[in-house]
Amino acid sequence: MSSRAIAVRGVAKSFAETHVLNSVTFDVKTGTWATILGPSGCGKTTLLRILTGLLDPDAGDVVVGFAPGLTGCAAYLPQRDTLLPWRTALDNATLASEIEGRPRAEARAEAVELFAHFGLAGFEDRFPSQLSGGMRQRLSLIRTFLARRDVLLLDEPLGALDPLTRATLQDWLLLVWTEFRKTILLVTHDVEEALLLSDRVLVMTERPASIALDTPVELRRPRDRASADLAAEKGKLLQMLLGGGR
Amino acid sequence: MKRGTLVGLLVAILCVGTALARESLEVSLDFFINPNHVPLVVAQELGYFADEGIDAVLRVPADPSNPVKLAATRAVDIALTPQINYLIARSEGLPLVAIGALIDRGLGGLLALRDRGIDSIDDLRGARIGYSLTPLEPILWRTMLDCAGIGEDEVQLIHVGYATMQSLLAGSVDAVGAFRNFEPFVAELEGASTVFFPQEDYCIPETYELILVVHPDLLSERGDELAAFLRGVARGIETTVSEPEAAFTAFATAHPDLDDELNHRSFEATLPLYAEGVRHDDPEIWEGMQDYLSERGLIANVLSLEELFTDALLPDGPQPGE
Amino acid sequence: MKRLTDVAAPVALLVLLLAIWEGATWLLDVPHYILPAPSRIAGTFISHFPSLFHHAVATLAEIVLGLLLGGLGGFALAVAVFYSPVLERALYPLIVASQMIPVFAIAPLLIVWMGYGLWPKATVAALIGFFPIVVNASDGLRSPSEESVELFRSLGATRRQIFTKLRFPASLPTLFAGMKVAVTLCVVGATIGEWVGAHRGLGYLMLQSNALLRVDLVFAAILMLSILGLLLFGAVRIIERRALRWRDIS
Repeated sequence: MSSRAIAVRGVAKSFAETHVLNSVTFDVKTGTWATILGPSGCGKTTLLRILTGLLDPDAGDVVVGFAPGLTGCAAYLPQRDTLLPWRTALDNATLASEIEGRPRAEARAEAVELFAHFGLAGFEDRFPSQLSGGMRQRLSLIRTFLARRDVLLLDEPLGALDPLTRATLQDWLLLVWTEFRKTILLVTHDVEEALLLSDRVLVMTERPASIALDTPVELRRPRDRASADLAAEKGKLLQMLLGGGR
Repeated sequence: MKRGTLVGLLVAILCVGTALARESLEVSLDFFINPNHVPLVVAQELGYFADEGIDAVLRVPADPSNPVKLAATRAVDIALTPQINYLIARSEGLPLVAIGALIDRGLGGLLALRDRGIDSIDDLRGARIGYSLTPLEPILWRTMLDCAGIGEDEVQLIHVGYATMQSLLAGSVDAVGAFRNFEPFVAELEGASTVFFPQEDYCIPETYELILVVHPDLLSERGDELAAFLRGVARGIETTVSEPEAAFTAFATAHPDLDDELNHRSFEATLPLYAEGVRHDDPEIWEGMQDYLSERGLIANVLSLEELFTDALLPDGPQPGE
Repeated sequence: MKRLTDVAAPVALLVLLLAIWEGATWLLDVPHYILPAPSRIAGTFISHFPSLFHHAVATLAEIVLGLLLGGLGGFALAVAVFYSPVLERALYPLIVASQMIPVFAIAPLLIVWMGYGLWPKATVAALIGFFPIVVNASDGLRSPSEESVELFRSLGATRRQIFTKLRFPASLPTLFAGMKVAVTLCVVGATIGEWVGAHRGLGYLMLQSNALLRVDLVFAAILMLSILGLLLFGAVRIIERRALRWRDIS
């Protein structure tokens, strides 16, 4: 197994006249958590779509998992809610297994276990419309997990939630990551979230985007939201952002 | 010209105009304009109605069962309708009376194509016969077939809606109900040779195919105008029969879209069928048809002849001996 | 208690309208062969019920067959047009134009091709009814968000799987809406189909009754037709509620 789960070299992408990505280069080590910070509309989603294999870059190389940019090597959680309203929570969770043709009973058992593990026990037969925002995000994340990929690409999964729910889910995500040791690439615009969760922070510039900053987060885990260290790191990062990155 | 004089002149014209303007007689035809109506068009175009001091307006009905309803509710003054439809309406209690006729024979019967090997009515054994008017046509054709000794199970009567000629020419049916003065020519112009079985040859009573009916109140309210109208129609028929080419020219000028070979042939076949003197008062024809319809269950109520028609407005007066 | 008022309101309105109709007919002395009073129509409906039922069965068969043809055909057309831009450009104008052709123009053609049985009437019904289904199915197939499609693709789904697991279920709500409209159109279509060639059915009965100036029977047939329409509409709604259980749960 490669030590780098994600390797991106000089990726560029344009749509018609718009130059979205301009020579993006970074690595993510296997089993680590990297976060991409950047303003809205700077092309973070485009980058994730390239990493998923849904889009081809105009230039550069991408290696995710074992093979170059093959669709299906990473599990992708899109920004907007993509739960299927006509399926029960359990059926939504087992979507990946269904598509891949895995035995139904097995997939359902696995999902039920995760439901219990992540506090959704008893809601297997509810429809998404019957779940709260936080529960729906948890369900989406469970679905992403059950895709059984080693790399997870999460596109602003907690942006739409209220601060309390967001905090709860952040803790929950950390728990899951610690337990399952996936490689996670998170996209967010929340600096605190980046510092709380990740091993590395990658700062993207505005369009045409590139990585302006690639810095490790030197805080010991478990991290405390309220700690002074976190606040200090945040201050440092913000300074770098305002000073260095455009 | 001085302003005052101009105004005076306009007022004078208006007064004269108003005096000359008459309330018109609204006439509902039985169907779309066709050669059956030539005498009416002739009377209009050659000013026969104007000569009688009346103004007649011809209208096409929305659906064939409408004319009698329009006359009964006085939405129109005069309706043109087949005697059979009229008797059905009278049985249902519609307030009407017949004042004259345009066509004093029956026009209906069965039409078949000789090319299909049909020469006599006997050849209709095993045939499919198409019709459009329900329930009337099935009853009429059943009468004809019974008369010819053809059993119910030997023939199929099929409702083909309005597309009788299409069905016949396409071969979907072997014979159709038709008018002797129209449909045969449609087929002939398509190159087919036809055979027609007239209804009166096969046990169907004689009938007045097109009669003129009005609401009874109109007899007292506008009797003079109605009599004038009938005089105009009778004159129209006279001219049509004595000068057919001129008549058709007048008809074609008024309705250029009907100026074609089909309508010309149809007109020629209709010439012997117009009602001389617009007479409609043969009691045997009335009794015969009413009894027939009653027997066949098409009408529930049988009325007296006095209730059905009046000859008081006929141009040549009542029959001698009445 | 709410159910009671739900039913009471439309019933009360109906009773009121009927009373006005009955009263107007009587007061204005409207002839029965122009507009019969509701009481007379009701009487005729009851006395002629066996005949009405017999004709209703024939028309119902045409409507249901027309619905199936129009529904399946319309949906298939929508799928074809969705997956092939070439077909969309070629077919869409034709589909829209097809709705402009008056029935009496095509019905005789259908009869020449298909004879006088059930099929031409069902086809007329289908031709009129398929349009809302094509339009709604097309919209429905298009409805899933880009992100949803991307999710499926990122999971390695085939185009077939994207269709069966995403687009098809997503199209059901609008599809059912289209079906409900199609039901009413198919009722009208079957009736008109009978006017151009039939020997049974409520449309045929209407023609016959009209010729005999039995306008009360015409209205009785219309009443029967309305009942058929309501029953079918209700049936579609029941199926819709079962299929779209997830939507009605608050």
